[in-house]
Amino acid sequence: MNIIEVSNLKKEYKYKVKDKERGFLYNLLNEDTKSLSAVNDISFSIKKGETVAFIGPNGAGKSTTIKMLTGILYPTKGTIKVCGLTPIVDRDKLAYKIGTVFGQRSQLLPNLPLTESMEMFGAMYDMDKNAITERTKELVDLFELSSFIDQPIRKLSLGQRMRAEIAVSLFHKPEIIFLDEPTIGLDVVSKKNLRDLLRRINEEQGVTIFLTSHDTEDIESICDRCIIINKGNIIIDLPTKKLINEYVKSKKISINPINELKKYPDLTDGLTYLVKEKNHVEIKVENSIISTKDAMQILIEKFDIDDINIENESLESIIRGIYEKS
Amino acid sequence: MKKVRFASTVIKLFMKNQIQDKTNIILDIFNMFSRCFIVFLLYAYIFEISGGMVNGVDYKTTMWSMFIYFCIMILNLRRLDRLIMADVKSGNVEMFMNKPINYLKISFYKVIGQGIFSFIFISLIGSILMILILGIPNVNLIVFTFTFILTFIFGQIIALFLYGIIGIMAFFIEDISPIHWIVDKFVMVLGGSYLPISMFPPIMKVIAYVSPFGAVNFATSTVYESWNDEWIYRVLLQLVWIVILGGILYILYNKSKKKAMINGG
Repeated sequence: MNIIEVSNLKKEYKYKVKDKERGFLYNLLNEDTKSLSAVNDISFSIKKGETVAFIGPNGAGKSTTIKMLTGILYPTKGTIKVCGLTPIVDRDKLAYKIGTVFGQRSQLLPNLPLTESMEMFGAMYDMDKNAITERTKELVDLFELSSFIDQPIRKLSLGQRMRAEIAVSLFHKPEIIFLDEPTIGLDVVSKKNLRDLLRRINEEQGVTIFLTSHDTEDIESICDRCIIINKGNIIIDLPTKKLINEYVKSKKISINPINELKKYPDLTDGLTYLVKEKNHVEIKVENSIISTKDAMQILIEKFDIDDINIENESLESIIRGIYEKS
Repeated sequence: MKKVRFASTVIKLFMKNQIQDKTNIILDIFNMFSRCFIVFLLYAYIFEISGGMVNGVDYKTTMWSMFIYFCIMILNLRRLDRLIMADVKSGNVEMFMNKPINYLKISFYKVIGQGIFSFIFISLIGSILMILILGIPNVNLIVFTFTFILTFIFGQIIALFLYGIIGIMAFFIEDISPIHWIVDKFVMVLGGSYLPISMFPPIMKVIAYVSPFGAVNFATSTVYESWNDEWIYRVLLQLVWIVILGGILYILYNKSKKKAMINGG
């Protein structure tokens, strides 16, 4: 069952332009406008329970799409169905079915403890006092919020605040949660905790996750599917594993030699040194020129190998390659 | 019932959020008492050199009128438009637009919650001091109490609608500061901020009575003798402005939702 269905979605922004050849009065009376296409005729659907990364470079149209899906922005053209509802028409009904977290904004009351924000959210979603108390308890346990539940929000660390933001956005038990760069600015430990938590919410509660992020670790660890958008167009829509397999163009081979290297052997076409150290070298294998198997054979002949490791190209460099190509 | 519970919860929480910052309350108290002190001294002198009466109104009545005006200013619903503008400019408006609530309503509750504690606290203390210093105003207490509450509530609804309209304009023109400045000065002047309404020339009095700017602060007229004869017309006039401004705000708000543009989308 599809929880999101988008077809031929388009969003254009109009902005005023001045005629530099003409004077102030002319520009005041005659305003020319230009339009900018932020999202250009995109279509996709998402099944209930899926975890989808909606990624792209800055200005690609990610946030515009999220905001149209959540009923904040009006589309110029096209249709959207989220949980069977049209966001701009059924904004209020849809609000009960979705949760949103925008990484750079807060929906919490800064001077008060988290419980007070939860009380506000409970009242917002028509929950009675008992239901609010019960749900608060559930989320405090699930998100391990008890250590800072009594502290004013402004005194929390960024990691704690993001956990609180996500907990609050799940207060009304939404079917789908939209996350716009949820790990922005977090340290590595907080990022990992948050990713584990999102994965758990998806697996244990079946919440559909729709995420935008520039952090490829977020994508790899949370999302089973990647939709890549650039200049307002969807350029790739694939399962994350398939994306990695299909778009891997190179591998990295790390070698620790038995003896310290005095000189570095010349390499054949398709092999280049990434790191040259006496006890460690890293070599990039261009798979369009040479297969990994052939590369291994050559390297075994050229080095007395103590230890060897083969790694795929990182998702980050795959995505970078896709952006550059598009 | 749910709507009332939500409104009271939000007002209560924003009030609690606001009073965590004690500096604001102290500044409000200082602001109120310093303004009262200066104005009261100034007008004491004016009434003295005028033989105790100006335009048929005595010093005590005039000072009570100005005190009511200052109390309304402490409630400060006038900040609503700047609050909306800040939300629009920062993009924070999106945090409310995907919730099952009306963004305008939550902005109303927020601005009420932010000002209500200082308003109640300072008005109570100020009233006691006013009674001790000047005495109870010369009014029919039953008519005064009933009509004061009515005209005060209606006036604040007009203020919310008026400043709401200016705030919503931020969706169209982004910087509403010049409009705020013009409207705010009208509200202040016609509400009796600089000069008590009793001292207004006839033409100014008419403008103050019939315009929505003056209607915001009709509560300041409740201590005048003429109020007993006028209150019914004034309250009806307020109702007319509530309907007109409410209608404009409703139309404008619905149009503004289509105009929403947020950084990064």
